[in-house]
Amino acid sequence: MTRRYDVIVIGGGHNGLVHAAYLARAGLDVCVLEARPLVGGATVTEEIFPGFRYSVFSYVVSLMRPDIIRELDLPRHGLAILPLESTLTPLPDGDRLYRDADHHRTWREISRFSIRDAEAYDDYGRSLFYMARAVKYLLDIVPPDPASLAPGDISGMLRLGRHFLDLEPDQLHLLAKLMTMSSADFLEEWFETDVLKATLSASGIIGTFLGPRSPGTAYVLLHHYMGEIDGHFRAWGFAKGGTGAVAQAIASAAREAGAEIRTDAPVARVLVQNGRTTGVALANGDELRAKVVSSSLDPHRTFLDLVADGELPDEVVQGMRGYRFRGSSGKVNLALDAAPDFSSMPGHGPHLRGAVSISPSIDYLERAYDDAKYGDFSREPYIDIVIPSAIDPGMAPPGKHVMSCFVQYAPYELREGTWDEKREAFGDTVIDTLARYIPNLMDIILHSQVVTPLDIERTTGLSQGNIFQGELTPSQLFFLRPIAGYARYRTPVRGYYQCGSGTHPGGGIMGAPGKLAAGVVMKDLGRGKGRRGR
Amino acid sequence: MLLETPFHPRTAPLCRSRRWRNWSGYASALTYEPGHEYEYYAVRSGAGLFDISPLRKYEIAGTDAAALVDRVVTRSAFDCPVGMVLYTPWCDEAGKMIDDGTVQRLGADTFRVTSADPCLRWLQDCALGMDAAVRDVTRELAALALQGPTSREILERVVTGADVAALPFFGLTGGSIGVAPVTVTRTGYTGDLGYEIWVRPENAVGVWDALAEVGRGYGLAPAGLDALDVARIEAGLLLKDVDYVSTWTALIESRKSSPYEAGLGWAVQPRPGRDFVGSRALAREAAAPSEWGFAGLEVEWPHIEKRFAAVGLPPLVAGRASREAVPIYAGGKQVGYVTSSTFSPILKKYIALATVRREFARPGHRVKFELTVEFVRHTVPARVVRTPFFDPVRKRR
Amino acid sequence: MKKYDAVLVGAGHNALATACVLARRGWKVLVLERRGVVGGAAATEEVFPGCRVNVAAQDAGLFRRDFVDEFGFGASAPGWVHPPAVATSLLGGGDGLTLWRDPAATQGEIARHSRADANRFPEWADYLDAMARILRVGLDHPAPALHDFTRRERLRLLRPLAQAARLGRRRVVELLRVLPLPARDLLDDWFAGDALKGMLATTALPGASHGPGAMGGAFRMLYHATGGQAHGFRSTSFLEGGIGALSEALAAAARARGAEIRTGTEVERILVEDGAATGVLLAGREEIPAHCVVSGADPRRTFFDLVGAPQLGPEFNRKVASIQMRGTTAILHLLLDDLPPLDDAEQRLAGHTLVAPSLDYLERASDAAKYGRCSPRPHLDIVIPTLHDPTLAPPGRHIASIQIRYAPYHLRPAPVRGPHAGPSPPGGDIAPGATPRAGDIFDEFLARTWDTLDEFLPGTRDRILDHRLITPLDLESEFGLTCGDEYHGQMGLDQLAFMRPVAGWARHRTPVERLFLCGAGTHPGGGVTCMPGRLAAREILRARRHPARS
Repeated sequence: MTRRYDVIVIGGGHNGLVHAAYLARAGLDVCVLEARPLVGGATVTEEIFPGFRYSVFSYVVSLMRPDIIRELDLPRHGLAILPLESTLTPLPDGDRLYRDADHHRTWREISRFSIRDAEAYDDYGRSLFYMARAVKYLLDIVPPDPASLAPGDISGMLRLGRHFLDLEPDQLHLLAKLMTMSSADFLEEWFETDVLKATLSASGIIGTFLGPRSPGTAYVLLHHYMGEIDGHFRAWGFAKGGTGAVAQAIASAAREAGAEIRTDAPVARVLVQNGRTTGVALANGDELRAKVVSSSLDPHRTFLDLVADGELPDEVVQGMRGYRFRGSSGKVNLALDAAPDFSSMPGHGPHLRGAVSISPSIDYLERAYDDAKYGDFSREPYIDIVIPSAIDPGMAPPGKHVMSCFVQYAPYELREGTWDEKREAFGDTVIDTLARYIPNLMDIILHSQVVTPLDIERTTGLSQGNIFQGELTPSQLFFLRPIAGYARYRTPVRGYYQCGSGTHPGGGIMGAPGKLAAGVVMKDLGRGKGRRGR
Repeated sequence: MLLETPFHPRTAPLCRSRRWRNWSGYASALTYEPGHEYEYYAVRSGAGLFDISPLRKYEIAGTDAAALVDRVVTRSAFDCPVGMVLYTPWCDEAGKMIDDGTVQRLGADTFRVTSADPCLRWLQDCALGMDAAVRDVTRELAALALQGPTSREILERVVTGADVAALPFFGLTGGSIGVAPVTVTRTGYTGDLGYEIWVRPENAVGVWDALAEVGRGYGLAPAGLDALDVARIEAGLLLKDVDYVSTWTALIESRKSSPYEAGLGWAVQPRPGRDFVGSRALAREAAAPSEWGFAGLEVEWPHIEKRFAAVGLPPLVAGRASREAVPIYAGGKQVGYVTSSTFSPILKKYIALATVRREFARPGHRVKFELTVEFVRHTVPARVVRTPFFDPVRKRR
Repeated sequence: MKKYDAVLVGAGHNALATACVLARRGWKVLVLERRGVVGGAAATEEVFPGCRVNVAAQDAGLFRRDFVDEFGFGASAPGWVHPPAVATSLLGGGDGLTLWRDPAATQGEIARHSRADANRFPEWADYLDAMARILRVGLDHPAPALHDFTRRERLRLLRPLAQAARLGRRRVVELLRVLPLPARDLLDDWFAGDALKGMLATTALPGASHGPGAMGGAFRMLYHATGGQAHGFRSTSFLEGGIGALSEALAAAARARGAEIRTGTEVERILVEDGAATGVLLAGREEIPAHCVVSGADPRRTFFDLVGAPQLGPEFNRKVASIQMRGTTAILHLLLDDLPPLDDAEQRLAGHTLVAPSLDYLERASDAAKYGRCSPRPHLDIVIPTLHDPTLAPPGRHIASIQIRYAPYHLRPAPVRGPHAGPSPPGGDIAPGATPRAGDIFDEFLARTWDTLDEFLPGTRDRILDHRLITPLDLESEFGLTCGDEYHGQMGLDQLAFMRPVAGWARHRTPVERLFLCGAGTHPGGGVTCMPGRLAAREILRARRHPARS
């Protein structure tokens, strides 16, 4: 006899877990099915090399919604976020740009390049504060459908309109620019220093298949500034115990609320009868019954892989085929015998506790993109480095370090060869690039793990290795994410919902899609708390 | 990491209190002695020597220099003759204050502007299309404020090549101290007779030594920011980001202030045909005044004493200046807030700078000042008075 | 001295449109043009002896025929030419792909490359027209004043919203999805053939410095189809007598209503007193007072050169300074003694003849511009006006005008202006440390253009009698186009509607009272549309009725 659940959640990534936790807290009988032996999806910590713990994929935290942390009581379940305060941008000539929480020091550091820019930097920070404040509203609402005449959608659109028109005109205009400009052009309005523009614009290209001069990247820049930690916008942090600790905490909260979490349980397909879901079939042939099935997988898997084409209207299938992933990033995780020594900032220092960004100029990033555009990985890639062991000593044996290197661009689709053939060359390119800034690097590498977009796809199931479950471009945002008409977490199959990063408000360790989708599910099941779904 | 000013080799050993504060990224002494009273009285009875090097300094040069300054600040730069200094606020296009500072007219086409916070980008952007080059000279100029009744006599003995005695209030002159060329302005932030001395950093220590040497016979003492804070409140002078919030850092509209709201209406000098940044907004405000105004308050000291005496304590508010915002009431409703307050050692009064609803801003109005004694809130009566609270004749004469 | 109701600075087609509308309302209008002819960049002049050449703009496809009556052309209306070919893409080796006005013929052509693409093309053509129709609603109405969203303002938005909704709510949402897409993505969704995609993507290029992979390209594709009848490509049509005939017709219509047009008269400054425009000062020091001044010049030239930054607020100036003005197009005029050797040349070369064999070709051409260099293998858009009106050149002669991309105005490192110093260094390489000269760079660029022409239209060079290259630097000095930007500011999504020319001033008004803008730098944007001029005129009339309202 098969067990019948209220809700089955496909995928135990952070969104799936958040989704399950909220539904379980509402008294529903919930089961999470995770294909891998451990939960977390791309939010995992793994000990690939003995004694060294890698945040294999996602590596920093800031976007996690504070209300989720509070409502699920995640600190009690072990979540601790340590601050990541500085950014070092080393330059090939041994110079550098270093920014940290010491306002005056940062001012002086930027003013070495341009006094005007040092002043503009404060102004820029304030502008992004306004922007983050303005869009924060969007993170907590289910997108209304502008083409719908349903009262809920019309009032949602009106509320939305009022929210934005209530902004100061300058802020509204800035927001419009942010939604449409390239990050390079956007930054050009404040700054003249190339390295400053470059390192700031890097936030605008993360996870995209666009260069800093491509329009649309300014929005991604904002997406990375929307984070909030303890009430401060744009603070970045590192989860104690690695990124996996975030998923573990959410899983613990979900279990406490009564959710069942099954690992090693890949789902083969969603069962549909008469346009309504009845449960799922696992890869091993078992079938599980449920009133509701929520998929936290990306839209392609949710719509095209798990459900037979015949169950979906043609236009949905068409729309989904036009949904774009274009994975563009990889990771290189290093186990180091000692601390890396940066030629631009030798020795130990607070810079090791922050981020290090290999983004010396706009042209550098743009050239990195050009390589990828024509189907090769960047010969000189953009690299975003954190050294978790410098913040959290538990990540590596004493005196030794783990270094997480996020690398872009690594296009999922190569013009020549396969990623399996090129993995090593890719890793070497990254390490060679790093060695130019870290002279002792070659001597201290104990182990390296190279993660290509193909590896991301294989391991986590993220289509084309896109870390956001689909590009964060204006054509795939808000009421267009994943496609027009299905941005409200429902699907054409009754009882089948989406709750992953491929839905509004998108990727990053945010949890908002999982929570908002839970609101919609509860509303449809007639369980209170639906008001959050609006 | 805090920077050291060019005077640090002298100020550091003198700073026995080891009390330093971050002033624009520089280590700046709060007090030199363990307490600030001696330093305060030096200002009012002898002379206090303040290191004010962290001030931002800009030089403006070019045939349009006067036009640029006139465009930026609310006072008319064309009315400032060569050899004079203006104190003035400046505003954004909405007429809200950005900063305040002094404008020194060094020559027909040369100005020096001081400000609390960085302003280069703004000045340069205002200069677009004008023949006026703006340069940040903050690190090229060290500065001392010599303030107090004996400051003139000290300077007369130290400065050569200039007639310091003849220097008028807000006057400016070049001269030398020892071998060091200096600019001397009769300006300051204490409301007393006083001067500010501008010198290249390499000559800074020599100038300090010369002043200290001569000053010994005139009651000169190095003085820190705590003493300055008391003196400037007595003088009714505003402190940016304490008494008003710059439009650039305000984040929300209601925290911004116009010069009218900050009691600097006198410094707004419109004139037909004069178009300075914010002039249109300020003209509108002049016609339809804001609901907020600026007031100096004298809090009734006996009431403060009484409140403390009731719990068996002496009046513990005496001493340092406070920058804590304190509500002001009238008729049981909050009508404003104090932004700075202090016991005035020279007036023996408790005084405060406040932002209040306009109808309460006129001298003579009676309001209530919130006073917390032993964790219990009370109100004590206060009276709106004219500022400066302390205005000695010697300041101008 | 007689006082004018309006003095217009510049006699580009938009300023002439404004003059027409105002003069028809009985306004006393004076138009001042620095050059000897009217039309600005939409002029036809004698470039080679005995030949009349469309100096910059070629295509009148975006000019809406319903304006003919509105502007009162009467007998001066120009004759329209719709050649059978819309566009021909040169694919090298004598191969080509032509889109015809006849849909069946087009389908036949495409089928030679891909049967599936041929089948989808009619649907694509309908889709393009449908989307462009919705977009046009936005262009026909003033940009919303979001900075001052009064009740009245909201009511003004209802009409266009209702009009758009009538065209289909789902379609409006689809438009929202499509507008920001790169041309590449939009075309990838429709077609497989690289030649076809490369060809169609060329309509996304004018008005931006970006290649087909950059977002916002789909918007420009639709924008260039808003003239209607895009045939899956863009709205395209030509004029008897050249593009200048349109400007001449506008000028004639304005004059017929009493407007004065003075050519060869340069405005040196716009006079401002107490924050209001009072007239203009001519280069000859003559002052012309006027009730209002309307500038057809681009916004940066208007505010910084003609008004003067010190007359404006620093915050406004910052906005003007950050308008993206990035000319990336050079124009090459050729005098030919015969048509280029191509089968059926008279038919096939009568529309836009393109060197755009693939999306990647265009992408690589645009890459150079990102780094401030000219494309080593440029994209060419060739128009042969003598196929539309043989009288433009002496019998037997032809003129070919080529838009060449990319030749960025903003070269890096910044070159010295002026002609080259001597023979070009081999390969165009600049000695390290030496400051390059613009002349050398463009000589090199011209050489690459000849190579490209040889590759895609071989034999043409043997027929060239004379040539003239107009670089973006020339567009600036000759036509007053700041940074050589023919669109008076890039046509990116961030510089449209309420953001054009700068946020908060999208209604043709300016911080200077009684100074208006009517050029392509204002909503809805560039191209030979007359739309900004027409909307400006309405706003000016409205301002006179309600001076306080914006």
